[in-house]
Amino acid sequence: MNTFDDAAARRPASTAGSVLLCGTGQFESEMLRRALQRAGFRVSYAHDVDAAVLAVLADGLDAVVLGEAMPPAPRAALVRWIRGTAGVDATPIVLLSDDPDPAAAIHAYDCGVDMVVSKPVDVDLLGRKLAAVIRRSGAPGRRADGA
Amino acid sequence: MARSPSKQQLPAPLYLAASYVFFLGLPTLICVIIGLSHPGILTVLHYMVATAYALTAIMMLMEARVAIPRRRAKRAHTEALPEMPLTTVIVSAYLPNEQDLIAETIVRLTTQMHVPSYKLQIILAYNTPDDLPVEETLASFGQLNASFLPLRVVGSRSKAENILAALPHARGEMTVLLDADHHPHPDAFERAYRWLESGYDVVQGRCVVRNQRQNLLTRLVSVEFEQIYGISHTGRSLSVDTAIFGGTNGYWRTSVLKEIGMDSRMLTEDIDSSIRALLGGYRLIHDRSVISTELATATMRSWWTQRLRWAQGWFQVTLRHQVSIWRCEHLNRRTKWYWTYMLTWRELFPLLSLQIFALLIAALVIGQPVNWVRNWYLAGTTVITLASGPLVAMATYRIALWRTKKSLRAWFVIFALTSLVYTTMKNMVAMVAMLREFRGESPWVVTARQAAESKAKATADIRYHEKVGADA
Repeated sequence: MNTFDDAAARRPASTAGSVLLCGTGQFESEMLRRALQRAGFRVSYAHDVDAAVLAVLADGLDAVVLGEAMPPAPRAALVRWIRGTAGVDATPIVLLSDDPDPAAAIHAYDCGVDMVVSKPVDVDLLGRKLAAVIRRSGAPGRRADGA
Repeated sequence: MARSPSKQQLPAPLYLAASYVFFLGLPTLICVIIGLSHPGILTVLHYMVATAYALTAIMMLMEARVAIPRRRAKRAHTEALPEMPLTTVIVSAYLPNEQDLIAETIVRLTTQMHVPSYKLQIILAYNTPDDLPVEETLASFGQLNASFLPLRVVGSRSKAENILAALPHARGEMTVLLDADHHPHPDAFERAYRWLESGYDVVQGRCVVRNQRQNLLTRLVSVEFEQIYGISHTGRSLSVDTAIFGGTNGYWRTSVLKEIGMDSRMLTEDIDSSIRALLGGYRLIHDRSVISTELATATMRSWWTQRLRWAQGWFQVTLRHQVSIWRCEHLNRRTKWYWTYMLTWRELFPLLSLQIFALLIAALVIGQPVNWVRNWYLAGTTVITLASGPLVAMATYRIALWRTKKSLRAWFVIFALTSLVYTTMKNMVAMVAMLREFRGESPWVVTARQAAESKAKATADIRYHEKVGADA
């Protein structure tokens, strides 16, 4: 999963929340992982839908960040599965989109995505947006220990 | 401006042989002839050469004396400093030579620095003869991260051309120039910017070798770099308030960099731009607490190539700027004197130092050996010269980063003991460089990176990298 051995990976447990990256390219994921870790998130990565489902079911996930490296159909299926599964249905989902067409964003919201962030992103701003959607979802309250 | 095509390269052994014929054989012959007719002149020449050695040794010791006291820059306590301006980082890369290093460098720069991402603009200015898979990765970084711009410089063959191509895109108040293998310490930008805030225009940071335990050569170069950046640059900056931009880990006021630019005709365009900045009235400083790690050359061949380029580049700069420095009205005498030591003396010393052998051989040939032990002046200068290497090595150990001390402790001793041999090797390079410059041969050869090996070693040394700034 990790392609780099770095300082951020050895930092103490974060408090901002736990984030799953899914469908982001290998190097994109590495950049996002380090940026979000710097912002205080604990970051994990799932390379396909099956791995993402397992990660979401596991305790302690506060948000999912979807990328467009995953094809639209399985990505939409994953969003619908999260929204339809009791216990995890409130998990915030953020989509990183490089599609400038508003129709694509509308479709994503219709599927159940909470926020569409257009690329390129400011990595620090992305951290703040994630923190905001987690806060709105009540996740920090659910996971007061920051796990 | 592109570098003009040079003559066909001659093999290095031929240059070495020629340099010894010109700079040792010929002087020896002249000394023998002089010694046979006027033996007293040989003694005078002995004094002159001994004085040259001693002067250089004294300069080194003075730099060490000035550099030893620590001067800690105030450490930042917050991750994001609101006073930091927009900062542009220009990373120069030669692909495919550095393709295994560049992704890691970009990810580090975009995520690890203590500067908010909205105050960072990272431009990767690279040249490549062919399309490469790594370019897709770089493009994906660019698509993801608003602060990163990959810029392929078509037709470029040098770092100077890459930087020049990137400069029009630079929007920051401060521009950081880095090589592809550089990993600046997270607080490096803030530390450097404080100097720009206080009126300086260029800040040169300290380069620390990351793959220091890769082999014997990288160990030696690691200690040498500690000496160069910890002692020589620092001593110069503290005593004369001047510095050089060494090509990487350099922090420029963007407006000054845009005005000065880089001259791609020069082999060391960095030193050339430093002096043009100096002549233009701008202020340069070195701060050894502004740390960035890099990969040292790992083979003798790449060491030779790199040092030859440096030596020839310095020679070009000396020929181009020494007189301008003497004539410059706003430089004080002390600075002019120091830059004469840095340029003209730097070029003369390898030739002068070799003449001790010419004199000794001539004295033997004519049967009038000089009694060094009984001559207090010659004995004194010899002691100063021989002691300077170990003393400067001790000073280097004193100011070295604790990680380097820990991992290379014995190598400071080896460096001290072999300093005369190592200096002789560098003098050899300087002589070859002179001959090549006189012949008009100036090929641009990029310092080779043993990519896979270097990457592995770099990863192995990550722990060092993380801690490296702790005791700056």
